[in-house]
Amino acid sequence: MNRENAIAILLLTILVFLFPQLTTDNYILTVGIFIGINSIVAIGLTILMGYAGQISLGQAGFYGIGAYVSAILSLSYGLPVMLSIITAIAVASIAATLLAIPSLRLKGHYLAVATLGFGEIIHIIINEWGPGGPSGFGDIPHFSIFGYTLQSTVEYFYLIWICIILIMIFSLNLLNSMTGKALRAIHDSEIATLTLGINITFLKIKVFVLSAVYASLAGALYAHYVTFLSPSGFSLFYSVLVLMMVVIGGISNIWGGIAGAIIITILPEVLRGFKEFDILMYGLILTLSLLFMRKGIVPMVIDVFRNKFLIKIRKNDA
Amino acid sequence: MTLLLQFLFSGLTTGSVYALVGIGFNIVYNSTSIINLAQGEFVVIGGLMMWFFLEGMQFPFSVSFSLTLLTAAVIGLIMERLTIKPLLKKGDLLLMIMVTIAISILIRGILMFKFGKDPYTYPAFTEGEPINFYGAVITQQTLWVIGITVLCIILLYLFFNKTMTGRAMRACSINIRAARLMGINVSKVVMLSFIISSVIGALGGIAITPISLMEYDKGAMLSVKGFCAAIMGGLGRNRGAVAGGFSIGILEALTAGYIHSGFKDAIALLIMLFILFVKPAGIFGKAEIMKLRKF
Amino acid sequence: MMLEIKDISKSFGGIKALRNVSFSLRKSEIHALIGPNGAGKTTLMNIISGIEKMDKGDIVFNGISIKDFSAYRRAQMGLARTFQNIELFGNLTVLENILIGMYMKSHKGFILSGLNFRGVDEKTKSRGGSLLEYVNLSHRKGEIAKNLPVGEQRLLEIGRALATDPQLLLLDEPAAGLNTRETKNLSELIQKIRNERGVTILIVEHDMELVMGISDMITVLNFGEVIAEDKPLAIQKNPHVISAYLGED
Repeated sequence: MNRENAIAILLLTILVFLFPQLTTDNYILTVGIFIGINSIVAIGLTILMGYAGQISLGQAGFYGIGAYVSAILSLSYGLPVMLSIITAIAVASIAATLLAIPSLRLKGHYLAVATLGFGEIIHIIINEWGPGGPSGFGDIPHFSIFGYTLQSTVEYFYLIWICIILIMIFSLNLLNSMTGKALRAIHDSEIATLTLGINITFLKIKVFVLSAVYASLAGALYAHYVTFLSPSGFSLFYSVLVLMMVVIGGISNIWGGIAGAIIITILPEVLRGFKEFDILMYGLILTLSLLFMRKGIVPMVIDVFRNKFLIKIRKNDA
Repeated sequence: MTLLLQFLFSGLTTGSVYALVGIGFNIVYNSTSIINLAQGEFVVIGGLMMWFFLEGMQFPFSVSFSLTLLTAAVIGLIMERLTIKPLLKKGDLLLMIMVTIAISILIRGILMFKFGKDPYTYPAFTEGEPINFYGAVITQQTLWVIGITVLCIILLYLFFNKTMTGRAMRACSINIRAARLMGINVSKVVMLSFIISSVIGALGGIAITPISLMEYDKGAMLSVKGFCAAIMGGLGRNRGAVAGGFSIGILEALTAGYIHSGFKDAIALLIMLFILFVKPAGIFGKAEIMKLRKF
Repeated sequence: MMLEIKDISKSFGGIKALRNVSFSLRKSEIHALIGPNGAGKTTLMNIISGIEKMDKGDIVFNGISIKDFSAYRRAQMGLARTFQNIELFGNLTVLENILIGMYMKSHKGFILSGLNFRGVDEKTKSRGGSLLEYVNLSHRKGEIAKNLPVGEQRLLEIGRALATDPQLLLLDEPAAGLNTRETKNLSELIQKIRNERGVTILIVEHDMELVMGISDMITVLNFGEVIAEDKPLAIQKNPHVISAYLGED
């Protein structure tokens, strides 16, 4: 991890621990939790799109697998929550691998539609076979670890955001490593990367699986926090929402995933009372940001900051 | 037997719409090599705008019909000029996919804002008793839907083979660089392909709404199934898309009828995944054509 | 034999690019592949490195048939190359380009990479640095690769290929776009690579002075066929080669 990112992680950590001290408003903390859950999914997709150059419209599928498998295992089979979360992630990883092996041979459009198809199939399965069918089911056990069960909103806020800090550390390390450099190399020349002995397909599969691991973890955390699941939250629209977070936040920087998650999660809260507007707003924001803000917020802010900073240094030199 | 016939006809009806959406995919794909994931939204535009002119404004049928197609054409035109044209030259595939998704959400958002979440319908094109065909009941509107699809295919065939503009568009689909060198205005071809595909989608919407109702959020599924129809027939080939559309429609009707209606939508998706993984060039398509494509 | 090309044929839509091409490379020799434009040299390079498939024939590398191996497998076995149209990682730094070359020997696996805070370890970086020195690019270390002049880009490509620790190095027109002085440095570098590292080199090149100066053996391709194979002096006198270059047929 480079210095800027280490500092950013430190700042994030401080912020996470200060936030619940600053507000005890449960509503704000709850929104914070949902931002966190969406961030985890968005970080995974950012890595997949920004670094592996692949698009997925099926993140809702992995998110759904994570939520449903973990919920069912802990509720109906009495598995400890930690174990059911791990199992759910394993199931999602296997599904991702099986999907990735044939998909990644395909050209971009096909992968987009193949993942979309996968996501919708998962949606149909949980709709038809999931407990409670379309109306869903409740009484999912709360998250517990070492015999301690998390109850309050503050506890969940910490849980989710500590997960994000760990995920960010892992991701930033990965992208700063040889593997991350190889991923960037693929962007510039796929042929050269191959002739240097790098198995591109294998690397892309791993990134795809990583994005599925993040999404399924987020799904499982969601299930044990909300303790109620219904299929409606796992449709194609959720995949598109995550895509929006990534695009708005900026695909070239994984902090963009968090920034995008903040905006897209808060938006419907701001628009409350204008329910009929929200899809229109989503569409407008996505279209406009693709047309006029293609880099996304985080890379843009960094550019502005760097330019100002550099100009200052130059002035000082002169 | 009667039941089977009944399913077959209902399959052909929905299959017609998938075929039309698939053809829309093909036309845009041929001129730009991109998949317009907003394709299905134009079916919804067709159904809802037709309702708006016919029931809302109380216009006569022919006026409503023309105005609806005109609306779809204009939306297709705006979409192409404002978003596709400025971004296409960047040659960024990821970006193009996302733009068409963005537009589809935008259209859906506008439709929901205007029409709300309720399903809409209007009377069939012609009044009259359903036809009894070996015990299966076939409404007149079913015949309209299938008839319009067939007519569309014939007209498109004539357009692409007999007219100068159509030939120019075909030339672009075969080799865009050569076409440009021959003096074909590629930008116009792209624009035209978006207009035509929008109109075709809207036609499907106008025809199917009296049978299956129309609501603002039907577009996404229609896009997926239309795409499935298109790749089943080998992307870019219109007759393939028709065969694909009909097959999916019939399989769906049979699944809904004999297995479980909840799995109806899964059928098209499973077929799609199967084709993508096993034979991406489509069941009727040729692999060599795929290699020439930029994306 | 380091590399045996056996009876390779390849056609593109009816046009035969290569017709029953056979020749072999001894260990640690510099072997040049020459011929007029369109003779099929780059096609052959692509086939050897696994980027293109051949229609017929076999490639034996160190006694193993590699014709069914993908490009990255061949690279892992010790086969490296450069490209006629430079294929650097333009947005990465010069050092990073070299580091990617060392990927297969120094990457730590996906999960370990995520747990390691230090990024690329110092040992790998210093090895990369000394490779840069070897190809005379130390002074460019931190620069973005696409900003380098062509001559240095070609050197960087060679350095990156060397980073894979190859036994066989394919150089596809390494002197294209280079001035006289740069070409001279290049010819010294190629010989140094062979002499100090024992790397076998197959070079496609139009600069005859360079080719005649460094090659142990030359194979001449014309219209996809081998028309001569000999030592440089003999090649210069070979009537088939002369007529091919004068374009009599």
